[in-house]
Amino acid sequence: MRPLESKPSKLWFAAVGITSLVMMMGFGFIGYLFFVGTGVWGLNKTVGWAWDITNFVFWVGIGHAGTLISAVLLLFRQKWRTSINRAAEAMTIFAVMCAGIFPVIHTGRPWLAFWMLPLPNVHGSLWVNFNSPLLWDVFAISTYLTVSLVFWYIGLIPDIATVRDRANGLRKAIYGVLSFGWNGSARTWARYEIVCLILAGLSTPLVLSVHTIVSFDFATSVVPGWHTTIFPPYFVAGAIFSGFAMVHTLMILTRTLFKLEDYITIYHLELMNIVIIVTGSVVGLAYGTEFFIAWYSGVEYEQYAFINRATGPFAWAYWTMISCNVITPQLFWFNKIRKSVVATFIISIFVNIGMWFERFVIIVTSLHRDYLPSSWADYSPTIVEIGIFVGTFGLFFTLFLLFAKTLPVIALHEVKTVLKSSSEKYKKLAAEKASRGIAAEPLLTPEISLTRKAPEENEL
Amino acid sequence: MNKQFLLGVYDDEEPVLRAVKELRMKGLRVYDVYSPFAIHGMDDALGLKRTRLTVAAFIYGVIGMTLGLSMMIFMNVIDWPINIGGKPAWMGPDFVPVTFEITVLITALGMVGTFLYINRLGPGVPGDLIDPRVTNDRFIIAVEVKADETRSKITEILQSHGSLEIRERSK
Repeated sequence: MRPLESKPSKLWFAAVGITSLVMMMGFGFIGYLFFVGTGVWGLNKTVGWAWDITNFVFWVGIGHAGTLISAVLLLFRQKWRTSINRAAEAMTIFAVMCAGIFPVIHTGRPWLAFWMLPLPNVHGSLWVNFNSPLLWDVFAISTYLTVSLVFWYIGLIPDIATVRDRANGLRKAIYGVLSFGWNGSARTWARYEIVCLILAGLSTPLVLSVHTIVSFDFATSVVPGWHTTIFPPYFVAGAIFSGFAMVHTLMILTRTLFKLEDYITIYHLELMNIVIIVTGSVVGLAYGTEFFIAWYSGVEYEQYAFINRATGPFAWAYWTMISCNVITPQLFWFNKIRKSVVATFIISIFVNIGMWFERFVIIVTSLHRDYLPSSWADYSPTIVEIGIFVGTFGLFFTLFLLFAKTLPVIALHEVKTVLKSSSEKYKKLAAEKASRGIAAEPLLTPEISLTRKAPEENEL
Repeated sequence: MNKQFLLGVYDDEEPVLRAVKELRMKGLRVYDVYSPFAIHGMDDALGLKRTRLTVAAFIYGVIGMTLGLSMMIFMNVIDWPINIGGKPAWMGPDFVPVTFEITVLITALGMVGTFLYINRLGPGVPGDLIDPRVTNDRFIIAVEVKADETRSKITEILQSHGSLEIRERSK
């Protein structure tokens, strides 16, 4: 609540200023791209997908952690999710928005993007082709964005009502409209919990389906290096991996910028680090499996694709990916590193870089060597491609900063539930100890460490 | 309609739950309880019927699945089959992903729409807020006063569970 009701700090203004400048630059490059055409990118006949699709897969992957935290952890009744889920969901939405830009601009004539929708049209009655994984993507991404947006907003309603009832004047009016007339009645709450549960139940298979379908874009083709059956689980694990890394990057910035160390604690960072070790190891295993299957299949094209990946002209990208994704996260086996904010932040950046390179490696190394050596080509990005990618970071951080300033970054009503139940547990424990003649000492379990902040609850 | 209500204000959830149980045991009708978060077990204490939103969700899901599948069959099989390497126009597994996505979309939107409608929530709806503190850190029990003689009885029960204040409100 504090970041919301106080005046924005100079630091915040500076941050928004920088990110929105970067965003403007990105849009400038997109405008240039529209004006001149996709020739301004470094693509050629052989490497028809590269930078742009890499960015698309990268951003979609980032989005996945938000849904995972909010939906899957809700179903598993993990209470620690409450202080990070709101921001993670917002991250999902903004990341999917950034992702959505790329497939649209890469079509070459984005003003005809509506051709991807199943609309009656003037070309006879030629419909879209539902056998194409690219079209599945259109449906998957738009459904994912819509459902995430709805889930996020439903979660926000009671908190917006809290803001409304603490504010005056214009603020009250604006949040009043946004709060949908919430009054905290027990009937509404009972239904509300069911709605959240069902939405979580829907989002869980949805999030898995989205990255599965993204991986189908590659796996259903005949390109060596793409045509593998492990792509769906491999992509989903990679998505969760990169998403959690991005949650770290954002959370650590948010808790520092808005002084939320009491709500986003070391305990949360540690748990997310454990998820990173697990998914990072899954991803590492998948890299190994790809090589094994290439050898075991006996298909020489497949074997060449993988040997070329590790030793060819893009070997530098491959080994960047391995060191950032497989080796660096293993440092989290050390307790000290897992609990260190600085180390977590640095490793999360490494993972972000590594996961971007993973998609780049998959896309570019598989394409740049074709079946015919005469078609072999090279690829390097142009300033326009780099500019647009950097621009999406500007968009992402601008949206996130605006969100953090205008809406509650922490799910207030959920944190209140946890605070209440844990403070009662604490009271009981203290009473028991007192009866046995032991002074009530503060317990260092995470729930209790939240409890010690209980008096501040009204400040929320 | 002029109804009289007695409002008991509390600062914790436990006494609210106990007070509601006692009020209902003594045969008094609790109109509603307002709280900053969902109180576990309140639906039982108030004797609320289990919401049928789950059934609604299932129905929306079936509608979504039918719509999605029939749209694709109409477009790609009946109206304009595309010859892709001589493969049949009806390829079941190819239609699975989009069917799934449309099912999820219609279920989610339909259910949230229904939820907002039955709770009278919507953008700009004024809302009947009983006290601005209930969205922050206070809990309020609203009991309808049918006859004046019950008034003291209600007040007594509300107070016995440690209410901070008791107010009246007519609607």
